[in-house]
Amino acid sequence: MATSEFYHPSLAFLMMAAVLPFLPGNRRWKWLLLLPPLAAVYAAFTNSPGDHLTISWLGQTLKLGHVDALSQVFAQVFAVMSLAGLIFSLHVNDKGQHMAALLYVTGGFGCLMAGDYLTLFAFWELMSIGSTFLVMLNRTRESVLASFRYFLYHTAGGLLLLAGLLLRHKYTGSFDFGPIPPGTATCADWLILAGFCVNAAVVPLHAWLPDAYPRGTVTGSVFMCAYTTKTAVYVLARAFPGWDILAVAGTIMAVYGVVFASMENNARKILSYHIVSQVGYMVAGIGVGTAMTLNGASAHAYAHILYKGLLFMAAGCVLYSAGTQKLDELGGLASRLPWVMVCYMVAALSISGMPVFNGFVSKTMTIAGAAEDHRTWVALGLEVAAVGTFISVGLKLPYFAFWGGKKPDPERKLKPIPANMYVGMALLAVLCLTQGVYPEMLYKYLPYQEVVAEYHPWATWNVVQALMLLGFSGLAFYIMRRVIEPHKALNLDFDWFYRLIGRGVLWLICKPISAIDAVWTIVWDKVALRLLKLLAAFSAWFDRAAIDGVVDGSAYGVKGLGHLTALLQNGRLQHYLGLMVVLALLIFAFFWYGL
Amino acid sequence: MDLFNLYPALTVLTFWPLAAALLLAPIKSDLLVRQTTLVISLIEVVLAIPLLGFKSQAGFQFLEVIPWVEGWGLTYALGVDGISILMIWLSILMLPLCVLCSWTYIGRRVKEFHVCLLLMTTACVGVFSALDLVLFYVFWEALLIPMYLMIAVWGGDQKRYASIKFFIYTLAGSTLLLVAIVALRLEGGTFFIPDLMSKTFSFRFQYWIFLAFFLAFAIKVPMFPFHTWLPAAHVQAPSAGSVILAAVLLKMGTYGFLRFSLPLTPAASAYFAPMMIAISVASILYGGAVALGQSDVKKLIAYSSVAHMGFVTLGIFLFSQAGVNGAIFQMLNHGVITGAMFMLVGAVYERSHSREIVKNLGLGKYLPHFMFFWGLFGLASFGFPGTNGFVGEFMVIMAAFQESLCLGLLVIPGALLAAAYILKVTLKMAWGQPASPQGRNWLDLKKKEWAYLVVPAFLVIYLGLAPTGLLNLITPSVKDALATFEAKKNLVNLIQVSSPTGRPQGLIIEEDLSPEAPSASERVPEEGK
Amino acid sequence: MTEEKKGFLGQFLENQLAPGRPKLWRNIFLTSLAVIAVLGVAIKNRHPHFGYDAYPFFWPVFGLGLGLALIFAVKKIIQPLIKRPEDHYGDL
Repeated sequence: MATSEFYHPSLAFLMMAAVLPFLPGNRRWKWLLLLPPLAAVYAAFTNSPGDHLTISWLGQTLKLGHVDALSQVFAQVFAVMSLAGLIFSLHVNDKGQHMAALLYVTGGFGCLMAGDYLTLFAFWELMSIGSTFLVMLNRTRESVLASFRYFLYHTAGGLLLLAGLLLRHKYTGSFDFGPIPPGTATCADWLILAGFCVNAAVVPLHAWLPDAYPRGTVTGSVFMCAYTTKTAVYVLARAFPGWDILAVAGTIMAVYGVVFASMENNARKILSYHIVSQVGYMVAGIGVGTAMTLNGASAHAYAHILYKGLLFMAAGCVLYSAGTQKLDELGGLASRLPWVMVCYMVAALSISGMPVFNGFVSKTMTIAGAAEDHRTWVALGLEVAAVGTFISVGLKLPYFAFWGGKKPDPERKLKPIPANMYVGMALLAVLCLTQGVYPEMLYKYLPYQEVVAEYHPWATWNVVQALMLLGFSGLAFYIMRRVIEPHKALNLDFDWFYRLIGRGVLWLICKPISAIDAVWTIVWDKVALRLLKLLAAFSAWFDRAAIDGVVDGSAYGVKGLGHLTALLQNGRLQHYLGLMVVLALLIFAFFWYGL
Repeated sequence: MDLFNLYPALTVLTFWPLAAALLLAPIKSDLLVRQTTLVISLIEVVLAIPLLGFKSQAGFQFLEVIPWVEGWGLTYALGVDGISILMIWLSILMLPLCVLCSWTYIGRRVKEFHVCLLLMTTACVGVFSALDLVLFYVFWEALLIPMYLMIAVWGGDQKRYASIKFFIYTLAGSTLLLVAIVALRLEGGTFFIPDLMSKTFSFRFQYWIFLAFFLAFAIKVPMFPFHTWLPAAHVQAPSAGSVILAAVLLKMGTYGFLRFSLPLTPAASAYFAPMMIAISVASILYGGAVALGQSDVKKLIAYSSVAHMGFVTLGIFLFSQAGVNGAIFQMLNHGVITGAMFMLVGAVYERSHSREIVKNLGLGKYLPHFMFFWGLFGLASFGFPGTNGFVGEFMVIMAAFQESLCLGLLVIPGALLAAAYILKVTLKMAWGQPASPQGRNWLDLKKKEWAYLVVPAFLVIYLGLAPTGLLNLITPSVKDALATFEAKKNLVNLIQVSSPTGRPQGLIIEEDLSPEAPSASERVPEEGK
Repeated sequence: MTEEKKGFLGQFLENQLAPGRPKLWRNIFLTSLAVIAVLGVAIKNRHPHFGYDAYPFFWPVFGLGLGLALIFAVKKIIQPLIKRPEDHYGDL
């Protein structure tokens, strides 16, 4: 243990979040925010492989610091992203937003380093809480409602994970977090897979993403686009490599995402659907499961965090400055926000897979790997998605946001963008470029080093093919640029079903169940209390008139008995009594004989 | 270790509040009453220090057994084991917190109120430490009067209805409890619980005793469908009353199951376990569902108590180490969390004078500290990892999955419902629009409020991260109890088997092979049923 | 609002909106496409993934055709079916 170095990246973030409320009001505490990410970057490069930080809790061994090649490559990019993201959000004065972001990143790193399912679950929930606040703290009615839906949905996903891991513990006796061979799937594994797929935004469980991310804060969405889904990709890569269903699901996601992105009007919603699409690439890569596609998935995750973060930053800058993210309200901004446009285009070309940018070196690896494995439909689907990606994110969004055939309007007020936002964007843009030009920078850290040498991104054919694909897709866009013009609309997605279910459950609760409860209370009131009062009154009366009446004459006694039976004939009492007895017997019988 | 035996700790802890109540009699000033009660409660905490010497082993400790009424077999017997030690600590801890949270809440008849609080503490500690059935019953019933008074005198607008409902409901349950106690004496020959625990009764006897206990305890817990007294009582009770009710009184029901139903009627407990599990699951789902639809904050928390106690009873009747451990731990956790939430509701009620959610919106801006505590306890309530609520729930759910997949899957939506209603009420209170207009005049938490919130907050985090210490205290007793239970659940006293009711279905009846053990029926030959 | 100061890039971009400039850019774009297409024919694909991408004009046709088809299908077929008013769910 003396020679191995380990520092858990989450630690500084957690401490920073705990300390933040107590720091004094002037702005200088903001510089402290940069310490945790710097420490995390250091850790990501120097942590030595192995199982560190094992603690005993509740009789279980929790492994908080599992480090290997897969977790290191993700840890690296998480750390870099946290640095860029915090730089980007330095201008925010709201401590709550910073705390939420810090807790969120804590959760992300914790999940990466988890060696067992219990630790994973704890940090999974922490991420869920952090991101809920990142949406909620936008403080508009829309955002607060969205955060509520988001939280419920993610809690449900987390509970699926909990159910799965507990079942798995029942079957295997351990909480260890490792690869699950595809053929040995049990109910527990399916539940865990479902829980992971919620966070990975696998179609049809994906609708929370376009619902919540556009409604987060300008800086919060930048964080969110990186961590939740990529943590899910990481855990899928660790636990479910080679599961065929993921290959299919990933391809569907990739195409689904671009279809919706081509329709949308809201800039960040387009980007959100794109996350679904790009994560589809990664999920498909994991599903195919060869060393090259797993490398591809990791490389893609790395590159994706960088360029997606940049995309959200640029779109966030537009939102911050122009006050809106709706494409039909934007346009004519290129000359007034030139550097935002440049940063956006760097990211857009990366995501499309243009040579010279990092998307090119990562995306094509996944497709090549799929094709090598004779998964023709997967590779074809991913190429289709590539076309769609370039059209919607690479061309449509910037065209309508920055140009749109409109002249720059001098009357339009644009809030000046603080310098830190430009610095954050520049950091990511530089990385996108350098990784694209020197792919070894990325390839060095991929988990399956033995197959890295087999893929040459800069081979002539690859470059020319990419240029052809992108160039002619661009031509298609140019021809159809009037058709693809966005208008205000809401496009129905699977969240229509979720809301239906949610409303149904709420209706069920508020009407029938509350009614049953009310009836039960009435039963108590009408039956039990009345019965008791009756008994008391009768006893007193009987005592006075009937028993004493035996002395006076037995007629009183008969009269007393007659009274009681007459009262019992009262329909209402019987009705409720009968109902109560029947109900109780039914419930009893159902459970008794059912279980 | 002899330091811990300086004085009979349990007797002192039980009767000190009662004796100290006399001290309050001559005091005229309200403030002095409050201060004196606070001092009394802190002395109680100090007097509880010897209990820290509780060893982590099975069996009763700090035993005090004195023959009381020899002729009837009554003994004055107090003792604690792993099952009850946490509850006693909880009761003692709640007293100073209740005094603090009633400081400004109660304005009239202050002296009587504090006397009620002290009487309640006596009764609570007594219930959890009594080892003689009659003594237990005395303390059990003794609780009713102060609680009734608290609701009836210092309660809300419907106090009369709620207090009578509470009183009669609970009393109705306890009447059968008395019958069962007498029956146990007749059949078992003694009221002394450890002695009774070593006896074996006939299945028919156990069956009826279990049902009698069930009614009393199920009403107390409260389990669906005997829960309807709880929302009314909680809503109408004053803040401290709700706190004690939720934190301590509800635990007596589950304690009863653990202390009486499982050891004294093991065969019947095993027989009725499916029914108990079914009712527990129904409580979890029903309580959560109804809580979601509530507009009154106190009622919401009341129904959430129904759900949480469902987890506890579920854990108990799964008869596994994880389940029972989780159940006992959850009893402590629920006490801390829900007690704190009722204190918070009391604090906000003092400002807004309304329990309706719609009158308490948008507090995040004016009362950030308040919302922080509310958020913390809300997270603990639905079992967020890192809080103590997670530990208990996790253990019970794990035990549920160990038992059967379906059971676990039925219970999981309960956790989701908890998240839903907690989030809904927290969101509305923190950021709901339109913000309550008078909110800007409300002060954030005062020092006194910090004082009574910091303790539960600390416990929430500490027990969430380091539960092992407390769990080690309860595990040996639980292990021992479960081992005895497993051994005895198939054992019935054969002498009664030939009675007209015949053999129970599905049980393997083994012969009680220990010839030395004088079975109960031998001692009381003709009076057995 | 008065003329805001523009950096060199902003000024450059604004100048591109002058008449004649957009057409110039379009021509540059189309010429590059032609160059790329020629390159695509010249440089053969050594490892075709699917059977058809060994053909020289596969990728241009794929990119153009699919792009047109995608935009058409999305905007003319799919969106009209699932389009609703912005406040359909009552969130706003």
